[in-house]
Amino acid sequence: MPARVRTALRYTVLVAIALVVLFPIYITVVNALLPAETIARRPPTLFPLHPDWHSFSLAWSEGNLGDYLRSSVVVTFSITLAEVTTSVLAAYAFTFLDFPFKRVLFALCLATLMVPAEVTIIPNYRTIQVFGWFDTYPALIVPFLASGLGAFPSRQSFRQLPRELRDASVLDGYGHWRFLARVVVPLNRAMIGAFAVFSFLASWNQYLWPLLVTNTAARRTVQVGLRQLEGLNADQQNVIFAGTVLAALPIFLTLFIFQRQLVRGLTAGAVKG
Amino acid sequence: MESAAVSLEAVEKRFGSTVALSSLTLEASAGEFLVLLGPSGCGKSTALRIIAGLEQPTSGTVRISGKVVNEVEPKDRDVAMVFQSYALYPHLSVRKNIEFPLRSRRMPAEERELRVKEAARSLQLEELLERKPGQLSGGQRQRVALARAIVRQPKAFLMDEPLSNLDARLRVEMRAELVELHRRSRTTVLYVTHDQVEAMTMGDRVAILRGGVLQQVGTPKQVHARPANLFVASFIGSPPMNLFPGALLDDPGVTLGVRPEHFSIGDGGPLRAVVTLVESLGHEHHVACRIGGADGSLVIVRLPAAVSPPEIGQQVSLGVTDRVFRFDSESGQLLEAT
Amino acid sequence: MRRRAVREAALAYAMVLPAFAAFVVFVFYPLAKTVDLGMYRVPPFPGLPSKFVGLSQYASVLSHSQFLAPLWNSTLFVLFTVPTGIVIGLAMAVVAHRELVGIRVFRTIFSSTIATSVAVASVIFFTLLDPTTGLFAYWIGQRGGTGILGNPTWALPAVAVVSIWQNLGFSFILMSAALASVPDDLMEAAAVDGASGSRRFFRVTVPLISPTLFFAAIIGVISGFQTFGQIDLLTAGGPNGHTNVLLYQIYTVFYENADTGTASVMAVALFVILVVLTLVQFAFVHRKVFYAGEG
Repeated sequence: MPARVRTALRYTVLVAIALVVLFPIYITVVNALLPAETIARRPPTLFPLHPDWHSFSLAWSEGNLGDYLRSSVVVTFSITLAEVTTSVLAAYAFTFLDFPFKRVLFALCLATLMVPAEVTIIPNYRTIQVFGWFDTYPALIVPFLASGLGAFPSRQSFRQLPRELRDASVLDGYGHWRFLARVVVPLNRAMIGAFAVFSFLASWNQYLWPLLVTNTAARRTVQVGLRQLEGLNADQQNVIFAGTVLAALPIFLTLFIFQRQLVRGLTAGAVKG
Repeated sequence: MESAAVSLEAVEKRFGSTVALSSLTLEASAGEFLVLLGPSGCGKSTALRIIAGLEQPTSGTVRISGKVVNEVEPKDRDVAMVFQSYALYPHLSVRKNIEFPLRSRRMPAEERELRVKEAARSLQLEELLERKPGQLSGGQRQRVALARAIVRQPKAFLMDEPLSNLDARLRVEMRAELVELHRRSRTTVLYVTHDQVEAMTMGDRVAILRGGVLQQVGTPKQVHARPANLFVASFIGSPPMNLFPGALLDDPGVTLGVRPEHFSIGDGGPLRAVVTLVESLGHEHHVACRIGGADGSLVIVRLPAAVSPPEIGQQVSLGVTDRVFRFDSESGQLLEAT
Repeated sequence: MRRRAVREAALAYAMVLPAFAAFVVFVFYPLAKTVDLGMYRVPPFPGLPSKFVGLSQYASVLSHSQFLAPLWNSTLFVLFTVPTGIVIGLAMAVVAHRELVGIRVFRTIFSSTIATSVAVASVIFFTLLDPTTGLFAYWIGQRGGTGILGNPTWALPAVAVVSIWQNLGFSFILMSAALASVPDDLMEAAAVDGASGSRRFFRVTVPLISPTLFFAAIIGVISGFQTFGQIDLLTAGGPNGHTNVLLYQIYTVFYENADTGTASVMAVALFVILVVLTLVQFAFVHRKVFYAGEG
């Protein structure tokens, strides 16, 4: 086969796959811009010549997307910040400090990796009730303040630092806190960034737990909010589509900015080299 | 710069059941350049880390300027350390690296800047101040590590094999530079190395350690001229001393030692030998000879460049021109040097 | 010097305390409590006290179809999603592996579904599969009636397709990274040896990336058993329980029937399944941990 034909074939395959992957996203955006009655028309409208942005403001106000997004932002930022902080602190102690029961505690920290949140929802739901936290931010945030998924790789990464760096900083008069802030964190920025992006994604996409512990629009996260939106009538389908666009947009933007960290975080350790 | 005497008294260090240092007593007087020499695992680095305060001695006393510092934090001991790996902070510029020890000490910014400038100038780093360690050559990193040590103007420098990561040529250069630095500042230096050439060329005195036990302390001249035992004798000097266990003397209790430069070749000496190898280094020749037949012992002879060396396979006679050392075969101790 | 050691230990405990406080309250305690709750039978009428029945409740629940049917559905779901997802992801990675003009654009598009969540994907497909108005329903000829999501035979495969699509981005990124780790000189050596393209792929590339394939499979199985959002949003377990997977059943029994005891037994069973899978994964990766698979 001549090289030019082969190249043309390659592009054809690439375009075909791209169309299949993108189509659901594309049609969602198109439908969000169409008047409700146009959506069900056949053949379907694939190019919104007169985009109607009205659906977005409807989704925002009547669909409560504004409230949902606020909740999601508050919860996701809190969890990400907390998980990174608790992970870095614990990993520092496990790497640079000596203390009784260190190995036992580290083993326990690892053991949490085997207990997915889905398994413990029943007692945790009751705990939230006992604390009087039902339908509050603490209910959405506090159970996820720490993650073995963060502490373990952080420690692996910290251990790569030459021991002599710590020795040098001891003689230079730097205590543990300042060594952590001035040396350990800056030198592990890439790893911490990757974990932060991963943690951000995971908390943004949580579904089961927020569904269990919230029951008002003011506290529902956007994922759970979509469940309410799904229940809208067929004559408001453009609002449903607009809502999903609004729900996905922050993640699209985040991923676009932090592409590198994400790939690093998702593939860390899965691929040798 | 104020300089301090540093001393260890009966210092012992055990890691679990292994003894890293056994009852080490050693003093570097103020302003002295003291080299701790020995093979790897002999405890020399442990001794240095105990002085720095990075390790606690199992027992014994550490003094700096006569004051017991066992309970003093490393940062308050006023000693600076240079590490084998340099331990530079990779994310900080050369300037920030040098400044790092000053920042923790709440020194006013102007004085900090002045000190960094001075340190950078004395080590020819002024052009490199804004670079990161990753952009520097090995020799430049070594200079930064030194600058970071001198910028504190400590009472003593602790150097842990600082030149071992450099190539041979740079090592010779830095050796001279370190000696010059010490001569100018007259600050006490404790210098750990496994390289006897460094020890002999740099140290005011050399302390030789083996398996956590101090073997001998003395000036380079002393330890060369009167090695306290077989270990020191074979460790100091290049090529090493020729040793002849008892058999040669028909007295198994005594081992003879002759340095390679104390042999002469071919002027009717008493020993018959066959030349097996000749290495001409330009400034001298190393000649390997076998005495007493094919399974006899190998002798290395060092000849000055002016002498033309024998051919391989040639029969020669060896004579001894200078002192012969006699060691107790059992204990290894020096009996006499004649 | 004891004092220094004590101070160091105190600092260390202060540093691990925040993490461990959360672990104790929200991981270890509830795990034990779940096992415990599984031993109490909840009476059918609210207000009556729960009764301790010990392990007998484990025996009865785990042998009952209310557990076995969802377990089977979860297994089917995993079988539908995992191999297909890996093969498609790998195929996309192979196609996008060669450097071509504009390939970065294609790579970005191929990984784009990573930005959708389970909920976003589910709501989009739910609407597009709506039997009266949905475009996809129209295209596959499912007009009127219950639609594909209401079809006992096709509902679970349909949910699986949505999941596969939502996971394509992740699968593609993973497989691309694996391909990128295959040394070029190895491929060149194989080419010089005269191996054809497909032979090179199956004899050289696939064995070399098999660790990643295995990793992707385990991660897929683990997250497959934790499937919830797709079911809740697409079928609510229907029609007639045909898409009722394990976690959805736990949720229904606990949240809607308020039968804490039965739900806890099932949660413990789910935990055991996931632990076994995680241990397999750990053994394989030599105690390395991955970020992947959550969310």
